Amino acid sequence: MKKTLSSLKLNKIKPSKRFLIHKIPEDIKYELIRLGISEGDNLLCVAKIPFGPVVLQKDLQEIAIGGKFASLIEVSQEV
Amino acid sequence: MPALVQKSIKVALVGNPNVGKSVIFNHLTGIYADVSNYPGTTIEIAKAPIKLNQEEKLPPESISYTFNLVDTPGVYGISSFNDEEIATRDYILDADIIVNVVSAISLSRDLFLTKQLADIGKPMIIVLNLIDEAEFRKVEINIDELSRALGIKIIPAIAVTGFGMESLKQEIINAPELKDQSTIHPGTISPAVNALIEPFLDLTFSRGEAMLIAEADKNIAEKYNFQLPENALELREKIYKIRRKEVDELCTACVSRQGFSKRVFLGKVLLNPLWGSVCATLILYLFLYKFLGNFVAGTVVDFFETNFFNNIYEPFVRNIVSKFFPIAHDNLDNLLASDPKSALGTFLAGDYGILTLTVTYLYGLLLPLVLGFYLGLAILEDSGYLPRLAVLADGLLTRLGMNGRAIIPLILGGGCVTMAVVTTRLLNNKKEKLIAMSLLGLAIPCSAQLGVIQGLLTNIEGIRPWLVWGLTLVVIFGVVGIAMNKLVPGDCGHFISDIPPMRIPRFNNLFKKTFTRTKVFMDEATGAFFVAAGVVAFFQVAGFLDKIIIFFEPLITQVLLLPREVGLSFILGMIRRDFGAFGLLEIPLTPSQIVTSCLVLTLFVPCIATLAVMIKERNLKSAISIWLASWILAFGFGAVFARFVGVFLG
Repeated sequence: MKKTLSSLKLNKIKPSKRFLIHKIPEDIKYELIRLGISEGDNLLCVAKIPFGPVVLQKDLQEIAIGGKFASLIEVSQEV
Repeated sequence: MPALVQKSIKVALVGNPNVGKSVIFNHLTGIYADVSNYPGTTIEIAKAPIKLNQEEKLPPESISYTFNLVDTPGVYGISSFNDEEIATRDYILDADIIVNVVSAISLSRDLFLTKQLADIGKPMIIVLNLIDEAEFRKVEINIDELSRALGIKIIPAIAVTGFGMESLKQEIINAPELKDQSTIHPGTISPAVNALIEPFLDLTFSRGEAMLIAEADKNIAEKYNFQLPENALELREKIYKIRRKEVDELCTACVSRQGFSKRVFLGKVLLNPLWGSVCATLILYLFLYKFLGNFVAGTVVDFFETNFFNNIYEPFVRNIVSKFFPIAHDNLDNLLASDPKSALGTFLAGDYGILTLTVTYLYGLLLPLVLGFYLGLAILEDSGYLPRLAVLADGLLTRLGMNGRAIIPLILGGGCVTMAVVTTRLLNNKKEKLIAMSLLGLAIPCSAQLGVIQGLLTNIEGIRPWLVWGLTLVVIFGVVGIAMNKLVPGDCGHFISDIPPMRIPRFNNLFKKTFTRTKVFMDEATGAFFVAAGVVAFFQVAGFLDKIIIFFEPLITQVLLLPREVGLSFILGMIRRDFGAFGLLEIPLTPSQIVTSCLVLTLFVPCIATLAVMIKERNLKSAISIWLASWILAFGFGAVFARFVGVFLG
């Protein structure tokens, strides 16, 4: 089956959806690489607080990214 | 007999936040470093020698070793991104042995730091902590393979139970004796990273510093007067990406996992916007209203204060003192001049006597209230609830010019505002720190004060007064936060945080933590209470007290519509907020007056100790501004409240 990808910002991802990280702005890239998140990663959205952070899961670990940063990170999602 | 040579070995305990470094520090040194289940507990850096058994202290040779352990702040990597990293980096560069603590449930995150440490090339040992948690979550780790791939000895551990701690200690203390056969040696240095570090090796005294310069660490480059090249950031990204890739490969090879558990489910519910908020409200209600208000400030304090201190202890002390000095209760003005002997008796055991009232306040009121607060807080911390609350609150707190992490100082402020001001260091920048500090000074009552206020409010019929007090504070909190966010220049809302797993709190740690914090608090409070009470008792017999009350009377009776005696509470509140609050308990007040005085007291100026810490953490100007703003806000708001809202409460 052919997959189509739609491109959007991280703060628009809905809980329990998987997505691919496309582009992270330079100033937070290093912080996220250390936490184990980098461009090209396939991650799961665990929770989304309205007007607030997105909570991602990588392996067994959960990481929250504030709404402000989430709106700067480009991701793509299977439709 | 040959002279004993003293040698000191520096051991740095390094790891990501919240992996159990402080617990391990406790086991090895016997000294309690404050341990919690939220990232960033170690702010004041703890240092102590490793505790050796008697036989371990007598080495066969003539060299006596001390192993000085440093509990460094948790970091995800070392560089100069923030103060914690700089501190940790410097301890690592200085250390003889690195003990890297990693969490078995977040290896893909933790091993990034491990690889970075390995590239420094110092003798290193890994503690693989939380293996019980990993088993519980069905995470399997091939420890031998991991150890072989890293070239570093790994000690599996469950630090909270002490498992693995003896082996760790033996490894460390045997290291210098064994020399060549020591199992502590540098790990495998990544060849790909090494190639990128090599050009800088001649530039510095140590491999670690060369690595940091390759990773564009400005501080270290400055130290060597080295101008970072233009592509420095690219080089760093290259190194970080290599490490990331190596870690991912290691995890694929050595870690397998399956399934999720119930505690993960609970963790998810608490992060759901709707259920999470319901839980947060419920927890706040149970903790403040039911536990602190009804149970501690009501039942427990009544029992101790009334039954023991008022009915047994105070009459007993009065009885003894009155054998030597008469105690006066009326016409105290000028007592010092007219009858010095009974002035002394009154100073010691009168209504404000330092042997009567002060002791009752300290042990009948303050101690149970502070114990109650810290026990509740310890449960919230150790369960892993606070980081989830930080996530829920981040959106709101960003609007108030801070970020989610500010929830930690704000809640800690409910214990002691002074200590909470210190933890505002967790925040990112000056703006966030200033706003958090201001809100702490203005709108957060400290534990004993909170207890008294909860006690007074729950005493009145119904939950309405409590809700009025709570909602009013929320509104003030919001308005001040939003206004400051607009007025204070700068950026806010920088929130990236890993969320630790929910854990069932260990009784042992709850007890230790509650005890340690209460002791620190009481040690400081005891002196302050005796000084405050001494001043008041002296003022009373010297005839100043009435004059001060009369001076403030218009402000209290005309502006706030409260009885004049309340003025004394506010005056004392400037010295110690809790001491002032206790005075309120003895004045008969109507429901409206209770809510008004509780509000004014909450909003009123931070105590002297808090003021001192604010000056230290920021500067004199900020501290004085917060202090003056508290006066205006407290009395301005109290006046409005007493006239327009209070009347509905009767």
